[in-house]
Amino acid sequence: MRLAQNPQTRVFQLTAAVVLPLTLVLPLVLPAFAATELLVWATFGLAFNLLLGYTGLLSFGHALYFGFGGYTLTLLLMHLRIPLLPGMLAAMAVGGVTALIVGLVAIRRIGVYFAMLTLAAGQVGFFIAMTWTDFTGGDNGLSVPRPPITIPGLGRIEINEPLNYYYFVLVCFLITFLFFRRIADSPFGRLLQGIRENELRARCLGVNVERFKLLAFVLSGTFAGLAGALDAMLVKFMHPDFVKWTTSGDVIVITVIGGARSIFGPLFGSTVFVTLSDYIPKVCRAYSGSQLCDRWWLLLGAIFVLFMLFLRDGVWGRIEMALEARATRTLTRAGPGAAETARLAPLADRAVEGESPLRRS
Amino acid sequence: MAILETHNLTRDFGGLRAVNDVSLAFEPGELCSIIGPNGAGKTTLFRMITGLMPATRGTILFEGQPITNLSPHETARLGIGQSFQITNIFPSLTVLENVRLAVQTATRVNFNFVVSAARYRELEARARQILAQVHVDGKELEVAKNLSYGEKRSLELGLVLARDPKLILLDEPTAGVAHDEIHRVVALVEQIAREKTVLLIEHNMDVVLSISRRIVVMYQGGVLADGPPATIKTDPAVQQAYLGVHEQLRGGRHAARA
Amino acid sequence: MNVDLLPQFVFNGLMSGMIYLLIAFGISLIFGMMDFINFAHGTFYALGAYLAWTVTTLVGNFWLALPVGAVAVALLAMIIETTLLRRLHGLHHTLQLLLTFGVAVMMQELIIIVWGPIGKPVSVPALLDGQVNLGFTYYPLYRVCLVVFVAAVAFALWYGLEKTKMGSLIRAGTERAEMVNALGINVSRLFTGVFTLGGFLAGLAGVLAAPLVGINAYMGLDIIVIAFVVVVVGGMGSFAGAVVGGLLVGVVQSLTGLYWPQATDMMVFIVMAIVLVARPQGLLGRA
Repeated sequence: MRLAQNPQTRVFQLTAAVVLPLTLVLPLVLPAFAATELLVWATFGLAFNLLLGYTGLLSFGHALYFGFGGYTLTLLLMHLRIPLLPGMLAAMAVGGVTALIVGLVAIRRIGVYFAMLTLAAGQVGFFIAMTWTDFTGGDNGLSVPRPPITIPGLGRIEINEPLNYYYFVLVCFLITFLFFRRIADSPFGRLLQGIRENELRARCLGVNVERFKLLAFVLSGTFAGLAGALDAMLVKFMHPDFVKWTTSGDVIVITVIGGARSIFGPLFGSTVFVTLSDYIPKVCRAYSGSQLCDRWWLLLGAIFVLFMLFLRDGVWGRIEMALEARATRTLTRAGPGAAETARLAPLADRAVEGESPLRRS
Repeated sequence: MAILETHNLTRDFGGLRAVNDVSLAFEPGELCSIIGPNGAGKTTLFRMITGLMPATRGTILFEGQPITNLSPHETARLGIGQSFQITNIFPSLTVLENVRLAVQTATRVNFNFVVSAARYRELEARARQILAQVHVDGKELEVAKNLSYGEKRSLELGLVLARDPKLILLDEPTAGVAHDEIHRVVALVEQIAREKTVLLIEHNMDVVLSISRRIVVMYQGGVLADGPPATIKTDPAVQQAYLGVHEQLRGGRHAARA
Repeated sequence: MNVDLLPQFVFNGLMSGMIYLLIAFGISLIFGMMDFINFAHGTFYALGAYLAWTVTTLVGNFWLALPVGAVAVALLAMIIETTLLRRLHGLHHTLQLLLTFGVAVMMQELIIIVWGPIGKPVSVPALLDGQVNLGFTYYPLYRVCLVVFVAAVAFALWYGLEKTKMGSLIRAGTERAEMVNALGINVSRLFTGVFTLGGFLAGLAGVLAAPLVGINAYMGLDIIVIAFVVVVVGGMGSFAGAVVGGLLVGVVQSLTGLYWPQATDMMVFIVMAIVLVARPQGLLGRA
């Protein structure tokens, strides 16, 4: 397979060639649980980033779809004992439908109002999870099984072992990744970016902006539901905290730190987040044992703020931009003929993802 | 049949009447400038036509059909395009992508997750055509916000043209454009006007007098005068209403600097 | 349905509404004037409450805590504005929201580091300890005084906004920020003043609320969400909106607490959603 002529596509291909194989061997470096956690949050981040990075919408209550997806799977497995894969599809459907309901109300409002409405939806969801104890077990939570995958004709695949589960989650993550990559390049994805860049201009070009935002919102909710289902089976415990605003905050932090500009952003952000949250407190306590170690969120908060101030493209964003600039130079340095080819190479290879919406345009 | 008509169009803001009972008609192919001091209601008029602002009273007809309370995306679909005082493009996208996206909005593939490479190349080819038409070719891979102001203006016109509208409203197309680039914008407007109906709001009297075939003067929300440049220039009501414009009409150079 | 508790709970609601008003007013003013969304505003409130604890523990005098808390927080606000916020003007609202959210989280952690993770008690000053007969019910004196006091403060604010030159400048600034610039006023000093005032009011609210609510590190984030709901319900940039929104939210919260306690948080959000759907700019916001 030859490398693309287009600089952005080339960087993507190179990055994918390095990063994706790494995910195959990640359990060698990290304990399977942490590695799986990383991928689950990366999936959640990908779903969230469709809204934040591509469309420019900040949802403050995204844990709602995450949590409801988790609850759907849990309840279906517990009470109806349906097979795993249909259960997961149901979780995704619930995530999508919930997003549709919230979106129909919230999409018409912008900025702070939109954020507040999504937050409100999240709070309502949390309330439902906490009080509808017959269904959700309330604060006591529910125990989540991890049944094998049954494929008619192929038999059963056990995923109860942590390592097996990791590879199952990896497959789900890769499917999500490819799906969002396809969207980014598609006419739909590019239009979302246009909406992010200049909503007024998009409107005056005949775009029914609300409909596009709503679809993006629903897609985002659907895959957030998938992530929630995966997380439920990871920790084998379902609890209203899945729907809490702190979980919404977590995914925001991950997306921003990783970089809203790039499809690899959530993966990087998740790596940073999981590493920090799992290891910093442990390492700190091992070395100093002070009470200060419990306050590691101070460090995370500081990193977050610093990123917002100085590194708005996130960890990966800056690197990616530098690599793309370099690729452009390489391609144009290969002589005027090659440069021409590079220029005329159809951008059908790859959409220009543009900058993070967190930049002032 | 007139391409655009307004009947008793009025817009109130609380106690303030920004547009007062305006009735105008425009024939297809016209090139008309709408002038008047700040606050005369020109931009508000444009906004009501395209649907960015609702009318308080009155009706607007486009090609005979009522469009009075349609939203901006609906009027755009019917064939009305507009450019703004502050240039409205897609800043972080490349020049080519800007226009390609605009071309795409007029197609049916907007919700597609997949599209054939052939279709893609079609859209791109059309985008390049338009870029050539507005003379911003050669800069396809530039990020739009890095263009000069005049180039951004031209790019915006390219975006507007991408949908092949029948009626184009330009709100101060030369505002903020460097003096040596104005002629370029003007030439483009004239070129566009050959095939489409163009209404423009302008303060630059040089431009207004040189290209308009018809001038509508607005003052305090109403139409003060309406006719060919020669008539408007000598209209005593216009001259009397605001001396500032009077000075501009007499000595266009001063206006250009304003 | 416990109807005889109703007047008491309504009054409770008005009282919380007064606290919310003080904070919401600051947020609304800062947004209207400086186009800055401050999600960290609740920190001023939390700091006010913690300082009240520190002062009353050190000196044994609540009355001293009142001015000390409010003024100290105001000073902090002024420092923050002059050093940090200058750089942040003109940023996208989403960015401001995220940024100040991050700061709020940091401040919460810092508070825990300084004062410890366990909540602190502050008792009502002895002078105001006791009940007063309101006619239809007996009601704690402290709360009555709080309502009266904040009403006076609100009146002073209203008077300042409506009747003084500075006030009309501020009002003009919330409507048309560019206009203030054109008038040749020192805009940055005006901004600093506005932000400091916001901080002062939030700190004051914190001190006043200290004897009533549990002082804990999460109170900053807890209140900021409610405060934003109030601002959104009342209308961004509107003083009357902050008052109406604050009282409405406070009463809704209190009454829900009486009849359906678990739904308190949710009910407030539902009210907000209804208001936003019916009237997107808030009850008294500009269209």
